[in-house]
Amino acid sequence: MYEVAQAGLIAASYRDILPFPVILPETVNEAVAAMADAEAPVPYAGGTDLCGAVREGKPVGTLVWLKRLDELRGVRMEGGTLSIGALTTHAEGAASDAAGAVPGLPDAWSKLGKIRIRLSGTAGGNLMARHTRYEMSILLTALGGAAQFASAEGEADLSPGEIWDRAEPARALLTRLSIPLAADLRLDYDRTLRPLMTQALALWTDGAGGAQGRAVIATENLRPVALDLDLTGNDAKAISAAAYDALPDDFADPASGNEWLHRAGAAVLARQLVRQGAARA
Amino acid sequence: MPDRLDPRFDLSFTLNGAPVDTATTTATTLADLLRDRRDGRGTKLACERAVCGACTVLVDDVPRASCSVFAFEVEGSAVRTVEGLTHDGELSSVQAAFADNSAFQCGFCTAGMILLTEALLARDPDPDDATIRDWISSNICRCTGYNLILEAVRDAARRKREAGQ
Repeated sequence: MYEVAQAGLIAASYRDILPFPVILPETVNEAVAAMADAEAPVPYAGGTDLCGAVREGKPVGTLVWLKRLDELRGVRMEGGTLSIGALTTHAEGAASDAAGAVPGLPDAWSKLGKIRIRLSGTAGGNLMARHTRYEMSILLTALGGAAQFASAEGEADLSPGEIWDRAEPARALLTRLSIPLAADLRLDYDRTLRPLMTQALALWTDGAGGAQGRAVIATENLRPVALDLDLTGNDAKAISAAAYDALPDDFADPASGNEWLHRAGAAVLARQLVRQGAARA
Repeated sequence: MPDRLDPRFDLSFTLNGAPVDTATTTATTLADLLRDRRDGRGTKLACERAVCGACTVLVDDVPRASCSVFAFEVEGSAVRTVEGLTHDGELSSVQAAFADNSAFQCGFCTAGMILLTEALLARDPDPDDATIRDWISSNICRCTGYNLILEAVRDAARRKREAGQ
């Protein structure tokens, strides 16, 4: 299940890219129509990854450049949901007041990539690149979020895990990310052991007033895995150890085996629980 | 810009303040256009994967890795390269600070570092060290001369403030 991603076919240079037509839709509907009708369409937003992806064998028939779709930019509240436009850059998201509805999210978002990437890379692009070292999937998984896609067949909501499985409808366009705002939802993101491992912790209160939590661990080469927490007992080490009992045995990275990830992940999780006041040391 | 570009199309933008109209292809990167068609060899190519930042240019004042920006993206935009920083043979404040602080060894990263610094100081004229480190860490100096670069950015900020820039 947790196979290390294989290197793709590397072209000699990005200069090998053959010229392609570019479509500039003005609206989401036009973009969806372009995705449906164009030859081998590839949506293009912040432009962080495409040249590299092409060198690794990604074919481009038609580029659907999303630059004009302002309706897909920005973070806003929609009822009890935090809604993030797919074209929101990391810098915009980290600075948005709305993202502050989830304490810890702006700070975590501000750590994605270097400033040159944060100024142009987008939330949607980070997710759809499906690079294990990218981090939006980790945050979205921890926060119980979903991704909305639009296609000629209609709209579909997918979990981050389903995106890794490439379960989105054919020729679909990612439009928004959504995070349901559970009571007292907050995020703690720990990158201190990166690149060996990264861990996000989401905490919230359920309808019955009970404390709930979810930890998500990821590495450079493995897609994120979520661990549900049992926060009864108030002992950070015991909670972490119990959660990590559920870590799959085959969650093992070439740089750090399953045993190390098990121990390090549990230790980091205990530290996060204490930091958030969810358990005692 | 039209709603659709053919693989070969005419591109218009400004380069260091001067208008440019040129025929190009949709697959041409900005770095290639600058280096091969505009004689802009100050824009260096190294990793060609948007990682090292040696090819950094400013597109509408936003630092971009020109190796991974398609030229068509700058239609109607203002592009600045290191060649555009010098006026009448006089170095800009940032260039002078890099020179005076010996903030380079081989010099291959220098143009990208200088443009990154220009973008930083345009947003934050008095950045603290944490901010400078955050920005400079976008680009890679393979000679690892980061402390001198850090000092040059501090100095450049000081010079710009004193000059009222």
